[in-house]
Amino acid sequence: MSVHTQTHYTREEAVEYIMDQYGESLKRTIFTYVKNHHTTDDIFQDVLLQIYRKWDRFNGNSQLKTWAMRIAINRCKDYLRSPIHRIKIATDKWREQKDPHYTEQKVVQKEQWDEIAEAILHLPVKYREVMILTFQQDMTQKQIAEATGTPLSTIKTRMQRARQLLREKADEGGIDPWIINE
Amino acid sequence: MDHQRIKEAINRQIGEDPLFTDRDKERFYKNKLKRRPRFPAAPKIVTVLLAFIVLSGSFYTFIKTDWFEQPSSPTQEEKDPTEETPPAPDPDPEEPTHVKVEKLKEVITSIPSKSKMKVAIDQFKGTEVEFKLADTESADGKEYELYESYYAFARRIESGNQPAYDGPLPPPKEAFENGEIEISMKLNWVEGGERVLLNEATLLYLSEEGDLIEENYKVHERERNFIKVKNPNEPVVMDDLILRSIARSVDKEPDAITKRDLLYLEELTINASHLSGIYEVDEDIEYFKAMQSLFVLKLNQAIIPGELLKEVPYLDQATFVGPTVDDLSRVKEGLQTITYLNLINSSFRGTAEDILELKSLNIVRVDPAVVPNYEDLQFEGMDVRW
Repeated sequence: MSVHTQTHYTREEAVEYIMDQYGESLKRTIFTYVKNHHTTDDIFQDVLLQIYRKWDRFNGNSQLKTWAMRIAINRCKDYLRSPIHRIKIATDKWREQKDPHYTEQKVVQKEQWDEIAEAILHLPVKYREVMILTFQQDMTQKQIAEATGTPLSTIKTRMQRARQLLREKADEGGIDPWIINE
Repeated sequence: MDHQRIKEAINRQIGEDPLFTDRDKERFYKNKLKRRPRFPAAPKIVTVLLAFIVLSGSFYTFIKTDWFEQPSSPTQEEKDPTEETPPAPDPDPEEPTHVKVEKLKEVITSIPSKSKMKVAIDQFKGTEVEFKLADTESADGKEYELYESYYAFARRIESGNQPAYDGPLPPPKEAFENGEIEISMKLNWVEGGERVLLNEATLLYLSEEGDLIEENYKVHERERNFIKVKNPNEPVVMDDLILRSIARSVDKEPDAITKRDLLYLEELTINASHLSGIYEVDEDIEYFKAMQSLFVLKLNQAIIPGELLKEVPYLDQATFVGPTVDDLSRVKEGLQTITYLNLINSSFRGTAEDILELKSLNIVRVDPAVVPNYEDLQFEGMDVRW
């Protein structure tokens, strides 16, 4: 598929192609926003339906993956703004305090890289997304700007700030600072 | 940082097994088929709606008597260790209304659980006058329910218990004036899983001067305190163009706009491009004070002077189109809270210093060709777009 536009493919073919090619990476990206597998499944379904409905608006100006990613990111951000998300956060905090196994899992010794990955997943959304899209989705800063609808200069600033936050985390202990400064 | 090792570690955090499976595909095709025939199914929808009305009626009757009296789930919400404890109100039946209102507001801003709120309502001798399921939403494989409940607080009278308020909701000013009700409180709750969260609260009461006051608090907008309007049902008398602009935003007829609409107005676009010359807004300052939810303002060939704009407390985004702002001097006083300013299609010919006078601004859309020292904006950390 060199040119992916509605003139070449029907919406059914497009969704099928996106599911086969990018299904896994879309779901993994969604997870990094919402951090819950059930919610990831639901949001992924919404994203597929939106892709299906909006296929005639895709004009091929951006890459298909970037376009699909943008729909997924926007849907995740809508979810994070909703009162339902707040209710979930409260429930999770409550569960975390009540369930001893949950707490045990969190103190299991981790490799340094896992510590960093966990620290990345705990960054505020705007810094987390630039890190995830860079490292986990191998996207360039230009593609991230396009997928998030944010200016390139802002993405660069956020990347610097995200590294700085990770360095601060390293200073607090737990992560070897050389890994971040490398 | 080692790109590959971070990628592997992030993927370990998300999960070793593939997240995308054939079940996602099957679910999508099922959903797609289910959602496709929207209009041919109208008779079925009507049947479902009728069934829903009957069921929600029974549900309402059931829940109305049960809402606060029994815990809604076996999770014993009272023992929730993460819950913030609201300050204990200390109501005195003789104390003036505004003192009671302040105590209720204190409870509300502590974001209490429904049971804590119930304790406060009982202490203030409030009664529930309506409880209804306003909406449902699904997420996360679960159903979330949005409830609305109204409470009435009446003044204690010598002759015994005051009958419960049973008039229209929200109560009209007369109900407060003739003593049927002292304070009305509407609460919006979100219930899902094991939690019930307060989402929004609205209070109505008479001020000492005899004006009806409406105050509203949205929990998810924590940076914003209670917003307040005097005489919310009072019709708004403004120029026709502005009334039509507000009406478009709130989806009402222009002659039906009240001060309550101004309180909840979030976006306002005034387009005067069809008129000759610049349309200058010159209205009662009270109306701008009432616009406490106004977040986004777009003015096309129109201008609102800074002395009026500064009364809008939480304005966040402003767009100017046409020959209205040459150097921001007329409006800057009213733009000190905005974080986004769009001047790309305006007559702006000022300097970077003019823009930097807007203390909260983060993002500006402006043609760099007309702002010779625009790099100064970037140097100051502003995001400049064109």
